[in-house]
Amino acid sequence: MVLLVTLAVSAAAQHSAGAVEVRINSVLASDTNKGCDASLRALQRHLERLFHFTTYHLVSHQDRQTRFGQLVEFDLPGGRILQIEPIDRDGDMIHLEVTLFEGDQPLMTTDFKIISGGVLLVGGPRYEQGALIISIEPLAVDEPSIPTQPVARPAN
Amino acid sequence: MDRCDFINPLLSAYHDGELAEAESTLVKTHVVDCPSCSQELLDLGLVGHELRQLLAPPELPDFTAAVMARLPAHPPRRAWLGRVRPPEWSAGWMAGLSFASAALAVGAWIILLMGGRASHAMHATSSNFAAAAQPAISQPQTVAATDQDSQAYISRLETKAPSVAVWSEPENKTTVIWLPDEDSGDN
Repeated sequence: MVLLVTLAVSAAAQHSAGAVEVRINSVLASDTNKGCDASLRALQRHLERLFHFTTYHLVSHQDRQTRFGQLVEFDLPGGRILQIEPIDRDGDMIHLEVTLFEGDQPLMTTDFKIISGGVLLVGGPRYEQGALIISIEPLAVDEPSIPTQPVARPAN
Repeated sequence: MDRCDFINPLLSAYHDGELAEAESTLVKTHVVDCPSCSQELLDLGLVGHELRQLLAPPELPDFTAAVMARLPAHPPRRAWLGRVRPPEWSAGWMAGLSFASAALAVGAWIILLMGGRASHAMHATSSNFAAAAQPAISQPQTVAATDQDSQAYISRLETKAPSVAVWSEPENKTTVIWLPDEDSGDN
């Protein structure tokens, strides 16, 4: 009797939607009446609605892709460091852990969920003649499902 | 959200000197450039001044003597509880009754006046706020949006900042965490 045993390793090891693109803008907000940088056009209406500064100057823009469970670090103006780790994803909501360091001291740590493409603004720390506003925009990157282990064939 | 909507609820506490230094600086900086909030602050000061004037008891140097002088001419009357009060209590009763009436009138005026401010403050701090300004938290705290369709949910926030403000604008998919600087207070 030939016992046919079919084994199939399922898609347990498949990865789906495992990448996150994180966009960071470091903005100097001050009251020097110089308006908003043209490069901040996408953020301009957010900034003007939420704050009442007269100048918004883009100090740096950084864009990185990472995976869930992988920490990514950004250097910010004023010797600050931003660490972001995507934790997981729930539909359109991305769960992130964000830590802002001032030197080697953590200034703020937060766990939050935000809709993909939404913006978290962290502001307040002094920088030059104004305040620093950091915009954090996570974007889920959908990847095709790829099985990572072969399917075992039955033995005859 | 308008910056005044955030500052306005703090004006009363600022006027009374009840704000922390960071918040006080935040309000002071805003008021300098905002005619509307500056006027609001002036009004708060005027209300306080007028109330103190109203509550100050009038000077009645001969009041007691005048009342006492009239008492022997009238027989003692039964109080509504059926007890006869000795004459020396009457002056105190009348003064107390007058003060109570004045206090009641002033209290009613305060309620009417503050009713409008409270509803404005509550409107300003309702759905746009995930959490109001809080002192620095060393223990993790849960700050959750109550809206079922919220696009941001903060489950933990730890900071060394002396105070923190959190608010969101769901229509713009934007959430703000504001950490005033320890040295300056804010911009």
